[in-house]
Amino acid sequence: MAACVAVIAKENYPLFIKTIPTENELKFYYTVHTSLDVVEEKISSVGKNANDLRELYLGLLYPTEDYKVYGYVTNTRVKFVVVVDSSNASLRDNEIRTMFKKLHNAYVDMLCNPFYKPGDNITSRAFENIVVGMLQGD
Amino acid sequence: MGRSWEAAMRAMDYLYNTVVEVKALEIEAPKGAVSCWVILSCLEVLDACNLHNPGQLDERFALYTANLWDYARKKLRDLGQLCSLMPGLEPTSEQLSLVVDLVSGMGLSSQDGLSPTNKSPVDKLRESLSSPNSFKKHYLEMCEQAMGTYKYIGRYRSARLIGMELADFHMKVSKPEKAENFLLDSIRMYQQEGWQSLADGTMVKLAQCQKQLSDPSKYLKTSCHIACSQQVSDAERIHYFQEMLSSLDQVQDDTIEMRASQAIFVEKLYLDGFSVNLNDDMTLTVTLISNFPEAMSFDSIEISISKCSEAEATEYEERQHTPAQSSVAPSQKVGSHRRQPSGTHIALDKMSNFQPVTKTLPNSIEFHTFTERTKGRLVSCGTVCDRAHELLSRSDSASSTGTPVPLFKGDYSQCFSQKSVTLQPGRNDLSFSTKVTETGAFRLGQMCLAVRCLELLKPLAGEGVYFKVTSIPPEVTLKPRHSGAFIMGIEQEAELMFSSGSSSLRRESSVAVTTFPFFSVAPAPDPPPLPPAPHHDPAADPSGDEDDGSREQVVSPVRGRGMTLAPLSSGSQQAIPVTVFMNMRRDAVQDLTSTVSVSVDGWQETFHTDVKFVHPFHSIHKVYTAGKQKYFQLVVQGSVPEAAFTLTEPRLESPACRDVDLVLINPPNQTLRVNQHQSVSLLWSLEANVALLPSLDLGFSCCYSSDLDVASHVSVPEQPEQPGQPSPRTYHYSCSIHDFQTQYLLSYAVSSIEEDKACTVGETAVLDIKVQQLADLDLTEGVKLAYTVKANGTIWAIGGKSSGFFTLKDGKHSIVLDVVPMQAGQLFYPLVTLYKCMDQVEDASMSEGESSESDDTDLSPLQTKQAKPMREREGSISQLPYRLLEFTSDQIFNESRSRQIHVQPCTANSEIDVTLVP
Repeated sequence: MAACVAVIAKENYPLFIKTIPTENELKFYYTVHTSLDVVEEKISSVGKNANDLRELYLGLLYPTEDYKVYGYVTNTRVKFVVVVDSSNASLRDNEIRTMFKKLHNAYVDMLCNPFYKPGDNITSRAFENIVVGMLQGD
Repeated sequence: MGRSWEAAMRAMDYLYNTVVEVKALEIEAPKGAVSCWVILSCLEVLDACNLHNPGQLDERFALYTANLWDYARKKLRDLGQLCSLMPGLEPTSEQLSLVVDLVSGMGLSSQDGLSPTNKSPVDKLRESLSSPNSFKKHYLEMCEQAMGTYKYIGRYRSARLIGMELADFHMKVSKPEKAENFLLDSIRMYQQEGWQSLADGTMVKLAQCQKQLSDPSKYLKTSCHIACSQQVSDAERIHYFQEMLSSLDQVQDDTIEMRASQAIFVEKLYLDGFSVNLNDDMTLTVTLISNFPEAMSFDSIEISISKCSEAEATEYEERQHTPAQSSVAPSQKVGSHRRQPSGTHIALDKMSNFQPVTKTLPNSIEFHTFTERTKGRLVSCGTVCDRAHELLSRSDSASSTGTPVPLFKGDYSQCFSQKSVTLQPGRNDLSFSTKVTETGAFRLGQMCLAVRCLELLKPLAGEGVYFKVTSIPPEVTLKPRHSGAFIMGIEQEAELMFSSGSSSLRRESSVAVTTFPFFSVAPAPDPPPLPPAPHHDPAADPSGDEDDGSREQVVSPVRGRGMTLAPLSSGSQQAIPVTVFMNMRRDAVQDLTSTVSVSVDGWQETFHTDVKFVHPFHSIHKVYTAGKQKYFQLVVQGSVPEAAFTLTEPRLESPACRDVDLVLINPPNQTLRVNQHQSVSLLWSLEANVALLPSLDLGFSCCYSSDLDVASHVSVPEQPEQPGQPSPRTYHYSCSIHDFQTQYLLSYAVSSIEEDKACTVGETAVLDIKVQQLADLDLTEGVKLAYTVKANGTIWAIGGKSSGFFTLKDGKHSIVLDVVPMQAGQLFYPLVTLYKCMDQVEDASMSEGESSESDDTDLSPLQTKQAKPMREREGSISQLPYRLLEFTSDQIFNESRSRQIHVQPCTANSEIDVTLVP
């Protein structure tokens, strides 16, 4: 379903990236990286007001011909980026939201592991399994 | 309404959706037609927006136009690809006809009259499709526009992405030098943001670009980087590893320096000690992790050592000594490579040729606690971070902090070094050792791994490994070879021992020895080939670490007169055999300390060493009396444990007086051997030719020889027939004796009152004292003498005057006293002492101040015998106007001293008092 799922740290370095098996993984990396521009833009435009309860889901970051890039930012500014094939018209906004919700939960579960140091690359297998599930489109 | 940007925003969505829809609905269209339509739409919308946006670029406006520009650019690129208009592609006839179709599909140019600067989108597209050159021009223009707009709205990432595509394009048009900059920009950004995979992926492109550039040194660096990257596939890594090796061969002229950070990690640095002596070996153990995909052999690995302040080193030492820290420290170091806390994993050091613009936080912030007390009361406490200023300083406004710090090869004049090392992929343990030739505090500066012209540099200052080098100054000592101390008066074999301490002597240098008069240090003569050799051999090698070779070197220069010191490595010793002679002066009685100055050319230093000489003999003289006969005894004893002397030709002379003959009583050919435990006693009788003996100044001399004496060694075996040839060493002892002539004979006896009866306890006995003047002295008559009788009151009770005056008549006098023995047994006689009486008047000038002792008549008899010849005494007769003057022990001959009498116990008593008298 999704083509690429990425978790990006507050400081914009990748914690976790998983793509569908493809020859040019780097293309997705570039896409995700570029999407950070928009994510940053959206965060900074909202974040001015401290009391503003920001919506975590950022919505469609930017479309390209082939892919749509969606963003989600947790309260600790950890970013989730999901790239979906734009030909997949069946995906509605709501489904993307649930996808992010699931991802967020998985991330929180992973974070609860006392042996995980916040900021380290994510190596949790449980988390990976959930992401793989999203990529395979269940 | 000033909302022209809304058109752009909506156009964007519309265009994307349409394209997707067209695809989804599988609408047939000629290849490229959709692209052409998108480009045209974009450009038209942009034109329209521009038209209605009279003001400057508005941020909002730019926000959406940027996307449009980018989209148009992408489509143009696709078109270029499709029609082979991209450089490097040769359009086929099919593609040419496609171009014609597309151009015709766009319709006629609407307004021909427009100025060339303001062409309609259709014209633009048509023009760009017309030829590769104009395509290139238009494509670059469009890229420029898109990038510019992106940058304007702060979407640097998007801008860089276009930059990379631009780089691709430039490479295709064979302008790699332009491409390089775009790629470097991108890599820098990716590395700053920690997208290693992207950075390394771009690095591969950079490598290709640099290969085109035919810049082998840059290519080498990039290949090296890729080869060590964890993000790149193994095949690629190995490929670039080979590339690196082959380009290493190409670069020959100059050395290339680069950071080793990506390739080599230092996991552990361990010095075997914090403090080391100058010129001592120091060992450094390093654990390196090589990221090269294959084993890499380096020509050399060096670790430079740089000076640092003493304080830094001390601080480091203290940290090392805190037990908790020392055990943690190594593991922390390991951890620091793996741990990637927020934003800090982009360790400065890990970026090969790049520096981050933004400041990274250190992964640990050091702070310490402080407490302030006054008069024992806590005033304040807190935590302090010493680097707070540095850490908190704003980096965004201070652009200077962002300037890259180039890494240069440091000073490797002092370094740990190892040649031809092969590092396997992964962990490698290396051990270095070096000698430091300078004192001070040092730290490890940099590591340099060299392969031919490539030098991988790694700064190690951050590891904070410090050490101190202390020096031991060179030392020169003079030491006798066969005895514990130098002995005056004989020439001894000795060693001038040079310990180099921490400094070394590189070349032969001459040694000059200066001494005070009577003291000589000379190079030892060659060891004779004759029997005395055993003497030299066992002692030849006093310091165990001196090898035979250097010993040869030492001996040979000595053949010539001056002394030469062979080259000396640090921490070693060298001995030069010398002979030391201290002339024994006539008046020398005691030990003597002299100084020898040894100057060594090579060190340009003069060493002063105190040398103590022990007087070999210890002599005591004494005069003995038997009646009027006098004897002079001299006891000579050795004072040094190791030295044995043989004395010959003892002579005693009184050079000033010819009236006294000195006759040696010892047998003439007696062997006189002297050492510390054996003394020689020489006895002379004094035969006077005159009645009145004068004071005598006596001089004793004798020849002596010792086994330790080098001179005797050398000469004796060679010239046995001329024993007198070497000037014999003589020992002189002088003394003077005076007031030693016997003037009076004193004898006394205790006897029972009744004749032929033994004394009994408690019964009165008679002490008969006789004083006789020696006849041949013409002493003046009427000299007043005094006597005292002293006895322990529990042994003798003395009746009558225990002291009194008398004058000799005809040279004789006798006194009778009653004494009562108080104990039975063998009793010593009460001690009788004679004094000379002096008139108080004539004696007034002499010192008094003895009044405090005025009533000490009951002192034990021994006290009066104390050898204080001229001491004045006042007895119970002190009220008399006389002073008493003691005679010297030689002037009175006491015949009865030490005589005893047997006293029988009292018979009548029922109680028996038994006393054992020892």
